[in-house]
Amino acid sequence: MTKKLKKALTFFDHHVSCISRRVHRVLSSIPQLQFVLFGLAMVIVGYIVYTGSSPGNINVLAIIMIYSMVALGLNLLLGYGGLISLSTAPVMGLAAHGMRILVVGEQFGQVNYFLAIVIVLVLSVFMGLLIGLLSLKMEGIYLAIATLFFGYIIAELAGAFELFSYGQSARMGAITFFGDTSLSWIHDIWTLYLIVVATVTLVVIGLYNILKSPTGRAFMAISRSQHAALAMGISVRRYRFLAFVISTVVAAIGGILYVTFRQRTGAFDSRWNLELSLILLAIVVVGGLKSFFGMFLGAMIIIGIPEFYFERIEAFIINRGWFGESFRMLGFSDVFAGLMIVLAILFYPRGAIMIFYTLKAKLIALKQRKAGRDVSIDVE
Amino acid sequence: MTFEAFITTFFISLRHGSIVALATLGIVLIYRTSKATNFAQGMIGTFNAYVAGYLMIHHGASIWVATLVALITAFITGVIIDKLFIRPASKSSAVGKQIMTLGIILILVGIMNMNFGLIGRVTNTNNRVTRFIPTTQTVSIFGQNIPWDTVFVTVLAMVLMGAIFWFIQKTRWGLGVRVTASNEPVARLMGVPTRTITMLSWSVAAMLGTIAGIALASTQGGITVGLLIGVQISAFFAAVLGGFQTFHGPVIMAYVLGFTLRMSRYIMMTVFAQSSVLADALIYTLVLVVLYFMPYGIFGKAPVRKV
Amino acid sequence: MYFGGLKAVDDLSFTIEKNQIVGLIGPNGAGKTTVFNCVTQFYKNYEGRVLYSTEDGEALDLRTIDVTKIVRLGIARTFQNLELIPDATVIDNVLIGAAQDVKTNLFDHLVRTPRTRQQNRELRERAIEILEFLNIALLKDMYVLGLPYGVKKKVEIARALIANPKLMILDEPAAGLNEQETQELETLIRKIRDDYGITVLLIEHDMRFVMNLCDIVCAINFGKLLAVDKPAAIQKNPLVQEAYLGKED
Repeated sequence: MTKKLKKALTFFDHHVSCISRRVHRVLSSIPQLQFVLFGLAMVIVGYIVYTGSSPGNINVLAIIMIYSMVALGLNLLLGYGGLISLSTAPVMGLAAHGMRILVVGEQFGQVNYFLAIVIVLVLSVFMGLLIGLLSLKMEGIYLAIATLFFGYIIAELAGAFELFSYGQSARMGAITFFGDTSLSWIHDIWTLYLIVVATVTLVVIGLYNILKSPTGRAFMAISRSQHAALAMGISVRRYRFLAFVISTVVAAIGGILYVTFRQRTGAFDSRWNLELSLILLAIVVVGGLKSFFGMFLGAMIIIGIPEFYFERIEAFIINRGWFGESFRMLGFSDVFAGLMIVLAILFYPRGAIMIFYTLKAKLIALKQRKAGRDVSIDVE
Repeated sequence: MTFEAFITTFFISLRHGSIVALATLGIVLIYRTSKATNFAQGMIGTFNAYVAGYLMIHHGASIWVATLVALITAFITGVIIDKLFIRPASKSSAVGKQIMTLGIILILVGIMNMNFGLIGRVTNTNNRVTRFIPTTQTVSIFGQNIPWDTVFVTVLAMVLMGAIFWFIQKTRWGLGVRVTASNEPVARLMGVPTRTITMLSWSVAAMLGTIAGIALASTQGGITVGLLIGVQISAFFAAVLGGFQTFHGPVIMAYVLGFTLRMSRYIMMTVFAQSSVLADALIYTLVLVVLYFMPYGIFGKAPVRKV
Repeated sequence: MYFGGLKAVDDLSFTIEKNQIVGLIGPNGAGKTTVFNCVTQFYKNYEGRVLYSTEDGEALDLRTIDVTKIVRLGIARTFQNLELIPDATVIDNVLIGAAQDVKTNLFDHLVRTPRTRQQNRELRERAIEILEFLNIALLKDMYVLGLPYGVKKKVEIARALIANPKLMILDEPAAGLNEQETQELETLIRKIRDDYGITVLLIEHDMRFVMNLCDIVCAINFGKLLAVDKPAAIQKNPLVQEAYLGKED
């Protein structure tokens, strides 16, 4: 390496670290800003995709955002409260179908879009209370299985009634906001995408605030040091209850966003099924517990990679005729998600987000070895 | 409800109860030996039932041969899952293992969905998954013609479960299973081959699930990915109702539940002229209410927590 | 108090005066921790009464109080097996102890109202003050997971202290500490009593620690009271000697 290059590198390094330190200072004083920045970044990425060669991929981006948000709600249970819920997808489905019933108004008469949101949210709080009620009495596997039952019963009931189109997907149609401002999936997908990004950002900031507040601390206490929590006046049951209610409401918001964006409800047996609950769980486990960026990373891995790349691989394999005509990559994305869960639990129990920390630690170690110093490294 | 209808429904219920009981025993066996709630029990059974279905539909194999092959693949599936997934994760928490079995579900569903030419159109009505004994052969019980097949499945399940209970209670290996179930680390230190026992329990559970899967598929004539989902849910209900701490509780509850479900479906359809789905939902809701008041099941006890 | 057929605590009765440091000693399995759990209402199905003098001087039967409400009466405790959140920082762990002082509700937390911020600031300051008192303020932003045992023990004490207790119950505070740390703890507990005016009840196996520190020592064995007395007298008590050393023939 020539001296000049070395000098340039040091100069560059110095300025980068200066900037990053300054950014760090601003972000640590207002940590909520990072989510706003993230939202802006997603708007830019979305715009590039939308104006690019395959604008359809903006659907995938929106779904990833929605699922990341729902996964963060689930994380409140799993990462903080140490509880599993397997009823997330049916709750989302119920919210989506509920929105359609109210907005289309075949059965009960039409309701304004915003009023419909309020009604669905109130109902979802009620549903969260029901699940929370079970959590007051049950623990561990019994509770996990009870949530599975709860989701199953929702899906079964939806399939039995005409009101929910017998659990099948139904069209909601364009959304009328105020007066004659209406947004349809075909023409206004960009605006709808912006709505998704804005809502997700707001919800995530809200969740972040809760998690960093005394309530968030209480969530951690009830799962990791239950007895200390009790002795310090934190009611384990109350916070477990609360965790279920919050995560159910977030799931319902996810369902509302989905139906707002796609303007179809999605079927209970093909979309809002146990598989989706599992995939959301996979996002939480793979992405890493406790942070939204972990959730986003998890959603990118579990949903993004299959959506963006597997189609090409599928076409490639079918062209070669390796496994016959009927071969479909559809299954492969499930295998991929499943393998990711298994690998994450075996090797990265704290989630893929930890890979960055490992890399960072390695980088620091490398730098220090170069500098010829033998100093022990602190990872965090 | 007439007496005749009751007898017919009774035997159909008994058959269904047996299927659920097989799946339940598998779940409890695994829970007791590896401290993992096996959500994949149904899917492992379905996966191997698929193999049987493939042999029957594409190669015209008889159900006996197909079942035998499927049992062998089930054994291998159990070994693979234990060796590759569960054993390496033995240090992770119960929740971790639980999530791992959920991952296994996704993998198995994915493989089945991939349609590697493994199975074409499984629900093709011309090539059906046959019954063990053709439905034309019946036996008269209380004046009702009950298919031999129903009797066979019920008896097979009961004999199998009886054998497993005898094995657990009376043999040296069974003692090993019980010791492993109560305290794995201590059992290992005392020289009990806990690894082998855990592995075998996964294999046996997989085989039980497979028999349940094939028995159910033979009544439906075809195999879908969701074949055992209903059974799995019922099996979990039974395991939770019976309490995971005992082997007999869940099996008894499986029969009770399988029986109640069929009966209520019949009543819902004939008496109230409503969809059978409603009956399921109603019974399940009822069970949830029971669980609310008896959170550790009817036979189970609340664990003692030490401060 | 029974566990199955086992009598863990049997006909035990003793009184703790205000501003005393009382030690509860006894061989392993004597029922010391069970006594603590009965006092803090983790166990409810005991026979007998646990009376606590409230501010108005009334005698309150603690059995009528829920375990989560005990801390409001001014009773805070630590645990024998550390009950800390490993993946939270020291200060967050300490703030768990201030749960009863959180006056804001979920909505405040959701939108981070000025009230919440104000309260968070106050609680943090109080936590830092206590951490400084315990000489571990420098570690406030470290995760508990990798900290040395002695520090974790102090975090437990800090968590109990922030609850503003009148009675502090310490379950084996010196277990696992080295000589120097034990000595530091001794001065610390004395300071807790003198500076904060807190009555201390503790279980400890380290006899020198107990005898140096405590005003009154209560010895039990097999759930039965052996003696309540000044440390010097306890040391000479034949019953206590027998419990620890066995009978001399």
